[in-house]
Order: sequence, then C-alpha cells, then structure tokens
Amino acid sequence: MQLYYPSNSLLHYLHGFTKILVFGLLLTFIPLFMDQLVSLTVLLLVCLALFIYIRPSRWHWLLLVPVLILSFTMSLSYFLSDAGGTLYFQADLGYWKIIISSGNIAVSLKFMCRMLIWCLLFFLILFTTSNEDIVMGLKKFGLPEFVTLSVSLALRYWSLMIFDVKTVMDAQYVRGVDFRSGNLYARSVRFASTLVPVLFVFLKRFRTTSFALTLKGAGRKNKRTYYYNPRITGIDKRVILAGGLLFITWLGLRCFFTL
Amino acid sequence: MIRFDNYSCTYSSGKPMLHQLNLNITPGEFVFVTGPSGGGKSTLCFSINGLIPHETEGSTYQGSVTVDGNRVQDVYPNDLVSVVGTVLQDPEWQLVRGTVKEELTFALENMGFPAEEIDRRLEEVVERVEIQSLLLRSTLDLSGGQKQRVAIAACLMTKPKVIVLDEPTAELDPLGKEMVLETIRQLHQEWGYTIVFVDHNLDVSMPYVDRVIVVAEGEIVADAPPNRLYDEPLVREWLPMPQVIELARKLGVKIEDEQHRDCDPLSVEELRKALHNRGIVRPEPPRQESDRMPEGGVAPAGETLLELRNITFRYRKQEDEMTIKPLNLKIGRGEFAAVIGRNGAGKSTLCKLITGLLKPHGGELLIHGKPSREYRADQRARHIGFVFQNPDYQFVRRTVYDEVAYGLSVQKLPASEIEERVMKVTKLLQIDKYLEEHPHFLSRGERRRVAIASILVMQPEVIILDEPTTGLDSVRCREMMDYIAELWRQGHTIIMLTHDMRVVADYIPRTIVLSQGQIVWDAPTREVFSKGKELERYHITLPPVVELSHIWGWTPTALTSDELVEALSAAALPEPAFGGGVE
Repeated sequence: MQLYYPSNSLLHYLHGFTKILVFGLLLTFIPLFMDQLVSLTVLLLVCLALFIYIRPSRWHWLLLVPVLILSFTMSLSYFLSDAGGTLYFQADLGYWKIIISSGNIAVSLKFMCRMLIWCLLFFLILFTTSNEDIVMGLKKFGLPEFVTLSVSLALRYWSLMIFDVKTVMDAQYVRGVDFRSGNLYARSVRFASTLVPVLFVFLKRFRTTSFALTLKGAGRKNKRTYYYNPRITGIDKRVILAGGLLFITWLGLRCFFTL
Repeated sequence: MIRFDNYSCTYSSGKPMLHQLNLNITPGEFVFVTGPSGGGKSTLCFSINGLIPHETEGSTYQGSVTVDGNRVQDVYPNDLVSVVGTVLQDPEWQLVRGTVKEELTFALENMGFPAEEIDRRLEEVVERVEIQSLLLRSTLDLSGGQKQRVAIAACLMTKPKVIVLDEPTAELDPLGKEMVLETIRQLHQEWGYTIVFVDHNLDVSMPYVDRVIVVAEGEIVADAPPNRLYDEPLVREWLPMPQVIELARKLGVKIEDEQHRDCDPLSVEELRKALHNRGIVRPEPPRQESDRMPEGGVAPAGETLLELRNITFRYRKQEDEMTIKPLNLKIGRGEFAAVIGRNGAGKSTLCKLITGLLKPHGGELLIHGKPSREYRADQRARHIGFVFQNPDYQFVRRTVYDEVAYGLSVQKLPASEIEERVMKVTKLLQIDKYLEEHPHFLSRGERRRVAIASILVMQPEVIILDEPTTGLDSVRCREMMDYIAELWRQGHTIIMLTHDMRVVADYIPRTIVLSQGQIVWDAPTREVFSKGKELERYHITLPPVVELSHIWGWTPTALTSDELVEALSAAALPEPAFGGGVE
C-alpha cells in the first residue's frame, strides 16, 4: 500500500523541497493566523480544490473519512469550556460541564477547519511525492543523513508494519479473541494483548534491516553521493515565490484587518 | 579466499556457536553449508561478512577469519561491502529502499561512487541478473523470488569477491526457490564468484555445488564433495539423505566420478542412468494394495465437517478478478489433506475464509451443516483451529503454559480443566519440559509446536496448518511431520498448506491443487502426483521418487522411497552394496 501515485498534475512535477516548503510550512502556518471562520473556510476550499486537481483515487478519497471523524471528535472537546456568546444549552455532569454556545460552536468549527486544512496539505505532499523525492526534499533543508534515512525507512516499512499488526490480530482472532465485538474497554484490553507479539516481530524485523543497512555500507565515514538528485526547476522557483508572497501578504494584511 | 584459523565464537548468552573452526575456501568455489538449525551456520556467515563481532553485541571470538586478505575482525562490515556481498533470509525486510533502482544504487551511493560509475554498474548488473523489467517497480510489489533476486543484484553492484547467502530460499515458494537458485548457479558457473550458500534443501542444491560443509553444534562434522558426502561416517547422524542418494544407497547403485572413483548420483537423471547401466530400464510398477499407506489411512473420512458451496472472494484492490472463483469443497472428519499450488493461487485466502478471517463475497460455508456466520469467534475457534506459518505472530503470554492455556481462558473454562488439557497437549507434542520458558525464546521447531499446542488445546475438530515445516532442517521437518501424523492418527482432521512435495508424498493422503482461485484437482495424493508433466503448469516440483516413476511410465506412481525400492526388489535386484537411509 503506497500513498504516492504517479500522475501528470503540476504538483507531481514539483521538487519535494518545494512542496514541503510551500504546503508543509508556509500554507500550514497561515491557518494559525486566521481568526475568521470565513477565511478558514475559503482556505479549506482552496485546499480541497487542489486535492481534486491532483485526481486522487477512490481509495485516497476514503482516507478523508477517518480525518473527518477524528477532527469532528476532537473539536467536541471545545464544548467542555466556555467560549462565551449566546448560550443554547448547558449540562452540569459533575466534573464535566457541557456548554453549547455560539462562541463554542465557532471555536469548534475553526478547529475542524484547521485540522482539515492541515490534513489536506499533508495529503497533497504525500499523494504527489514519491518516497525518494520526499527524502531528497528533506535533504535540501540540510537535515542530517541519519534523519533522512530514518524517514525513508519509515516510508518504506509503514505498510509492512500495519500488515504485521493485522496478522497478529488475525492470529488472536482464530483463538477466539474477537476484536470486532464487546465494549470499548474490552476491545482495548484485547488489542493491548497484541502488543507483545507485535513487539517481538518488529524487533526481529528491525534486526534484519539493521544488518541489511550495515551490509549495504550505510554509516560509512566517506562522503555519500546522491545518484538521484533532482534539481530545483524554474517552476519550483515560481511556486516558492508565490507561496512566500502569499504568506507575507497575509501577515501584512493581518496587521490592518481582522481576517 | 576465505580462511578460518582456530576460530571460535560465543554469543552474549554464553552459548558457544562455533568452536575451533579451521576452514579454507578457494576462489571460485561454490560451497554449500548445511546442518541442523542452531548448529552455527548463520554464525559462520556472519563471521565472514563481519556482522560478528561488530554488529552482534556481546559476541566474543578467538582466532581469526580472513577474507581476500582482510582480517574481518579488524574491518567494520560496512567497509567490507566491496569484498563480501550478503543476502539474508527475510526477503521483505532486507530491501531498505522504495524501488528496485534505489535498492541497487544504495550501496554505491554510501560508498561515494560518482553517478557515471553507478550508471555503468547498474546497466551491467541489471543485464546480468535479468531484472530490467523490475527496475522502476516498488520493492513492495515484487514476489518473494524477485525480491531475493534483487537482493542478489544489489550485492553484485559493489563487485564483491565473495557472496554469502544465508538461507535465501527459506521463505519462498518452489517457483521463487527455482528463480533464486538459477541466479546463484549463474553467478558461479558463468561469472565465477566464490559462493557460500547456506540452506537445508539438499535435494535441489546438491547437484550444483562443489563442496558441502556440514556444521553441527558449532563444529564442522563433514567437508566433502556432494557425491561423496555420505561416505563421511558422522554425516548421517545430522543430515537425512536427499531422496536420490537415499534411493541409490538402498538400491546399491553408484556412479563413477571424473577420477573413476565410486560416488553417489546426485540428480534423478544420474540415478536413472546408473540404474539403466544395471539393466533396470523400465521396471514393473509397484503392486497396488488397497490398504497401502497413506491412502488407506488410519482414520478414514467420516461425516462432513466443513462444506464450501460456491464460495467466491475478491480483495478490494482486485476489482476485475476473483481471488477465489466459485469453489466447492468438502472436508470429512478424520481427513488429512494437503492444499498445494504456487504463491497467489488462493491457498491462504481459502483458509482465511474457512477460519472466518475473511468474509466470502458469495456462496456459503457450512460448519456441521450450519452456516458459518451463525458462529461467534470463540465458537468457531472450537471447531476450526488455524496455526500461522510464523508462530511469533501468535504468542501473547510469558510462559509456554500460559500461552497454550490462553485460548481456553478466553473461553472462560475452569482452571482445573485448563490445566488438564494443557498438560495433555504439551505432553503429546513433547513441549512439557518448557512449560515455564518464554515461548519467544525457544527454537523455531519448538515455537511451532507451542503454536500447534495452543490451537490443539482448544480441541478443534479441524486444524489448519500453514506451512508448518518451512525453515526447518530435514531432521526437524520429519519430527514435525511425525507429530502432525500422530495427531491425525488420533482422529484429528488436518488441512495443511505446503510447498514441500516430499512431505505431501510421504505423509498426506489427500491433495487439493489450487490455481488462480480454483480447485484444479482434489484427489488421493497418488492420483494427483500421477498427473506428471501436467503439474509443472502449476509450478509443482515433484519429489525424485515420483519423477523417476514418471520416467519409467509408472501409473499410478510410487510416492515414497520404500515403495520404489520395494517394487524394484520385487524385480529381483542384486543385493545392495551399501547401508540404507537415515533411519
């Protein structure tokens, strides 16, 4: 299972460095300086338009479902504090106090918008950039070799690790441990029991990988070369410039208006 | 090229792994290292590539290992990459990059080679190992055989003088094994690499190697050319004979080597020629006896336990083709059936459907005539047990006792009953002496037995075993199969997924051949193996006895060495000149 898929959108052609800088840093900071729900909604729509533009598959679209569920669930925590505004509902549950007011709803929606924007930006990078390009992008930021190697290993192995966890769960299921029924606590306890085999399996796997890395010369003292080393093109420079200008303009406008 | 001088090695646990080893391997030799699991084969490999002592914490050594003039103990393994290339056992986790091309270039990038030189070597290696079509593919999308081939190609990129392969075919299906062995043969025959190849599969490897070294209990117990290996007195204690040599010795057949000395034949063709020279051209087939094992079996099929009616299944990502096409199957009480077929044929999917890990797209699975969806997970576990190929996935408890008892505690049985059942099962599988041990720290064969015990203790009516003999040495493979056969004799119904055709021929009376999600044949093993060449289409490699039977046109075929020898003895063979098989 890979998140990246090849296509011919402009984003697919950009250098990993450009995408990490523009979508992973500049555009990620802008929502933090947005106070108005309208502004956040506009940015969310822009991100969604970009997401549609890269033509994700049905499977990639489905990844938005857990994102929506998670952001909605997390946004509910704002109803446990008082953000002011018109009070619509209030319930005192002892330690917890649930307050539904116009202020709470606005804060909660803003939080949801920010979460969705960040996830979409993250997906824009991951869906349009191969593992190799992400690593080269990070390398351009001057990160040390061991960090970029760790990132590339994480990208290489995450799907295998998920597969191993699933196999461990299957092995318990056939012994009568049902992860699909029972209350949340019972399921959590059953799931926790899988951690032991998962840990042992991973330790053995990582040992193999560690040996393999050593036997392929990783960690040598000589200077490393990069066989695949894409250049920053003119398009990259223009996109970086546009992203930078947008970021600065937004900060400038924010000094005069509440956006 | 490789030299061990009084080399001893001990791990941090204090367990000595190699003891006072003296060994000399000359340039261009193809050395096959074999022996029982835990005997020190991998330690020998890791002492050549430098992982011992540099990457194995707490390991201590005496003496020295020299490879191409480099004292391994003085050079860190990542500085030895241009001298020793290594292929490890696990095809998945030794490939560290996303695409084949990245994997191939990785070592040279680490060594600081310029891009032009990397390009030159890439072109050369890709052509040599014939992986042009794989170059831009993700390493995740390759088959096991292709992955190991890529791992070998990655080794060649650094132009090593020695290639060490530590059980590279252990986790592969027959097609993958053949693919990897073919590549290794080319490395040796066409390009003259020095090869150290660790493996258990004597039947396949012996005809191609120059020299066999048997390592057991940290010592070299035999070091001989393959066709004279079993002349060494100690070998038979550690290593069951490959079927061709076993047959030759039982029949008293020898061939002459280049120096006109008597030696063992190594391939079916050599054996056939040797028998031909003795006047056995086309002998009479064995007598058919209705009660002959294994068809007759001790426990004949009884009432239907499992029934699959027009079961279909498709994985989400395979939208255009069914993984399991409409499939009908009945498993009766007391049956012992093998499910065979190449990787991707649908064997594992079929078993996951039976165990409830997957839900069928269409059709119906009946357990005792009742639809399977009416059973909860714990109820289903009482009817069907599934032992995974890798027992490490299964163990969740700290002691063997708790591990075996785990399934029963999920069913909330009384402690006295749990204890009684655990003791009975662990005694049967001879793991009762490890009850207080941690299951993860047992040997591979023992871990498998604990995994089987933890399923068996729940007294399921059907036990499904996913490749229980993979990665076991010949002795332990036989031990494991003897345990499984004993369970069957005691009345358990067993379904076994396997790629080991010798195991199928020797032990299993019913064989189901799967291909592309469909049952191609479902018949007694003898009948299936009598199909001969037709089986090749499904990448099924027949055991030497069956192959020889086909050459002689025997229908039905002989399945075991004893049957073949018995048939030939009936044709009044001269007295055998040598001792028999392993037993």
